[in-house]
Amino acid sequence: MSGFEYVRSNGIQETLNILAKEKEDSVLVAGATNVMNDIRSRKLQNKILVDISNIGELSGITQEDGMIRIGALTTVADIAKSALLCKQAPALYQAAQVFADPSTCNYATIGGNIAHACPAADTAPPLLALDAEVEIAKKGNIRTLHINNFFLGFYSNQLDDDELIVAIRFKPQRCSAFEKIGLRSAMSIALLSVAVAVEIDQQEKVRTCAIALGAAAPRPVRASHAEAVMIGSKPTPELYAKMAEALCEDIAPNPKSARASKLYREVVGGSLLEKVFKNAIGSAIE
Amino acid sequence: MPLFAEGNKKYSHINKFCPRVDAKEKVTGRADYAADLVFPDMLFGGSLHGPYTHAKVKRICVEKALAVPGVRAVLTYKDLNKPFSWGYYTYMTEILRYEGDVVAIVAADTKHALEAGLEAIDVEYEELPAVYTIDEAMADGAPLVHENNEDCAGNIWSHARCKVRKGDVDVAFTDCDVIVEREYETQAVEHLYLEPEAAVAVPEKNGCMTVYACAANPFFGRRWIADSLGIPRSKARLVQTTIGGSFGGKEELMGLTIGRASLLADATGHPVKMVISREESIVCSSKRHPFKFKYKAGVNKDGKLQALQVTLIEDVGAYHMHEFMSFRAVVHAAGAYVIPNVKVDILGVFTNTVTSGAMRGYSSPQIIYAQEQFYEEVAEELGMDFLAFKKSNMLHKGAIHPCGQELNEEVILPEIIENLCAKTDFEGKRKKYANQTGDKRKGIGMSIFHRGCGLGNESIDASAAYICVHDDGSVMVNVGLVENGQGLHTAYSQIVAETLGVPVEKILVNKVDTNTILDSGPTVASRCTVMGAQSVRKAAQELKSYLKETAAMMFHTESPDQVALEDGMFILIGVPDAAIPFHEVCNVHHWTGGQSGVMNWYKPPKLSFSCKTGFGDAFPTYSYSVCVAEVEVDYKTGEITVEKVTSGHDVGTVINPETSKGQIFGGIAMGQGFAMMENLAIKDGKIRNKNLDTFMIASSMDTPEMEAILFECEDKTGTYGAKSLGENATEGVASAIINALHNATGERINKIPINKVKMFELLHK
Repeated sequence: MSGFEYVRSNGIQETLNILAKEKEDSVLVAGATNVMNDIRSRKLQNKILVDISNIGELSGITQEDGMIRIGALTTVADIAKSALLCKQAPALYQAAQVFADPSTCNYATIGGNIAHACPAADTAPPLLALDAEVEIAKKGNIRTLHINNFFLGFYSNQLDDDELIVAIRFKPQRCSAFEKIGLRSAMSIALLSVAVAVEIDQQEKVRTCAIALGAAAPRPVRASHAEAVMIGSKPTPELYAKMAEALCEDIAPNPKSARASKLYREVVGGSLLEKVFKNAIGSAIE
Repeated sequence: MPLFAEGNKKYSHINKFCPRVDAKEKVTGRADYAADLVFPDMLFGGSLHGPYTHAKVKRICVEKALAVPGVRAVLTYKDLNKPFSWGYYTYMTEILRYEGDVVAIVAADTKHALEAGLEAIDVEYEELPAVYTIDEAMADGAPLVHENNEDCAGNIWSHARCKVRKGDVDVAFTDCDVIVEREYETQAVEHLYLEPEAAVAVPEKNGCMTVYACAANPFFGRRWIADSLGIPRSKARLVQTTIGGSFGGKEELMGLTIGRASLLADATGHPVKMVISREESIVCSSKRHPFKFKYKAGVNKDGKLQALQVTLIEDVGAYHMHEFMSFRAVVHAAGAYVIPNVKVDILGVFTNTVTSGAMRGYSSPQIIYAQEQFYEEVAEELGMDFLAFKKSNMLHKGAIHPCGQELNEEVILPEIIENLCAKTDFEGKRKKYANQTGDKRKGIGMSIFHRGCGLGNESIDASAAYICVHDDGSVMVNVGLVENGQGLHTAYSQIVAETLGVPVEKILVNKVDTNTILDSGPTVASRCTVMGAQSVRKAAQELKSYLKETAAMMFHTESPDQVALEDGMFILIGVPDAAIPFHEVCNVHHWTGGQSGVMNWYKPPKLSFSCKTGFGDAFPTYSYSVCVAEVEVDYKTGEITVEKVTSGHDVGTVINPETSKGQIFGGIAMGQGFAMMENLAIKDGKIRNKNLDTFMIASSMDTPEMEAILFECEDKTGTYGAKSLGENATEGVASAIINALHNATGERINKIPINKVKMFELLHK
């Protein structure tokens, strides 16, 4: 790996200054679990590697004013151990359990996972289902983007070259769940992943419902057709069948995707979604 | 009746558990891997690969690279004294035949200078048309992988020829009641040893070249040194470092790396270290041969196999070194069955893809996958129960092997089958699983197989051992075969302990240094215990006879026959309390001028099989195995769960039950990966999954519950009656899983690997 420069940044402002100066010549590095792969495969060349892994204020999980806030440098391992997230955001907690092997989880950060914008990113569907907001800073400015507007397309997002993800915020959602299917039982990129966050009213009807998919389209997406079927109705086997049917409208993988066909994702997605939906409600309704 | 191998035979040091002698250095991280070695003034070496799978170098300019600060040498094919290496590979080449070919090598002071040097080499290529599959390579007018090569007829390799001819299949087929024909296909598989290839070449002041390398075949390594530099073998020395796995794979790329490091060390006068990256190892190292199989059987309504015709077509890749495999493949093509008329042919086809080579089994995992499914399909066509069909045609003592050999040793297949059937409730489960409905369906499957022990007629199965005692009673052993993770040093320590009559703790087995032992051939073919240890045993026996003379003298007796050595003590037979510790005898032995070291040699009796006649005795003896797999298939998702694998093996005499079971467990994981997961994503001849993020092997979460069962019998062929096990452990697993999937789904899988997506597509076609 020649042609790279390395800078270690110790604070947010220092990082923003470097980014403002170097712009597209810079690459932020935290856990480096994606960046190292890109360097080894020469997708990345001649960059200034800005190491932000030492910035303590970018890390941590807190709850204030009814919102959960996760610093961008919080590792997947920390999310997987969080008692708060286990109770208040099970979808994200569950995604962290099956994210990767322990050594990768110890380095990989939630900010890095969404910044990389892989269509199969494991934390993306939970954050989409939780209606998360992304706090983004640049020199002299802070903006907030809804996560659904953050992702643009295949490995692309709204982040400018001089911007840094600071944190991710969302409201607690006890009734949420996540599951993924990979080509093996662990350490596997998703063939398809599903996250659901749902609220059920007194009449056992679905009051609100957010369904999100990974590896179903060129970017992580909300499954609006499937959501529409469920909102306002009481889940029944017939309704789940309709939901699965509607889900096909939400699945539009890259036709070149070699790992699994659209048909596979549709059929498997339908049964996976039903399972995750029931997990989110917390009690299976037969 | 066979014994369960739990130390039932009357031995003191073998046939029982002994902790691995290399465990401590490995688990504490102290083992000396080649990539860790450092020498004064050492340089770093690396290779430049071309961007094409088939191309000619039109122009190559190294001036800019030589101008890079820290670069000490840049070598291209122009600097070689001959175009091809030993084994027809190329160290550096003008014609690139696959993406792993190298056009130039560089030595530099630092890794950064090395990388800059490699990037500064200016090459202009002329891309040539290429062939990537067996079908493309065999098509009329196909581009040639090797132009003007007398070993090729078109893209067909004329050396990959061996055959079996027994009886007359053409006549027999006309008389058969039922003819069944099927085709199967397997993929290339990466070995994925934990430690990629690494070598350090050190030029010596006397004109010799020493290379330290994780070479699984050190004497091949010595050939590569001598070949690359054009020096005599006597001036080439290979010192084996700790090997982090090989599975048959540390051979071609390892050898080329040894040669390239030697060339750079010779050119610069400095030690040169070459460490292969994971990506380079996956792209350049040999792979398990991909095969296409055509099986045709003729059988009578009584269920007796009458005739079998098999054509095996291997994708050789761009280069070859494995004509030996042709022999093993054809001899095992018919499986463990009695068939009066057999015709087997093999064909090797060159393509512009990664080279094929030895990988745990050397054709058997592929062949058994095809044949054990095929015989089930034959039984199905006959309307017979497949197990009854297989049992009625199975090899037995006194039977004639498919290639003509009379089997005079024990054949314990019926006992192994009976035991595994009882243990797994095989027949009960099969019937229970026959008519399932619902989303999740279970299946159970079996494979029955045999393996020729050691090299047999494949190659010379001779080996050397040197054993000496020091005056303090410690014992040192030099051998020519390597510990590559299989537990060889532990087995050899136990065999020396057993033969000499001293505890294992007294014995040190050294890694191979080609200057200290005779060329004992390669560490392959599961030969090292069954045959390789024969020389170890002979040397220990001879040494013991010399020590007994000294002990007899110390006991003041005329005859050494009156002396025995047990548990580290020399005793005088029949005289109570007459005992002298081993080390005291060794001390006196040394100071009275006794011979304290022995080099011995073992060469097995000659066999008679010939690839020209296709008939004869192929192996000295065979080991027999049965594998049972239990699976569950989720119809909704295609998910395949291998729930349990039970693997039973005839090991003759087990040397160490725990390390043997360890080999079987590893073999199951490897066989499962071959059946379901391990696949190189090759597009236009280029491998796309070059690292562990995309190349999938089974994780510990995927591996099934495993049960290893060892069976023993009386067969005097191998060392202390031991048979082969290392490759047997993996070769029948894929087949058992595939047959279990048929039991669960009714689907035949004629191409592997089958993952959940492919299973889903099969179920929803």
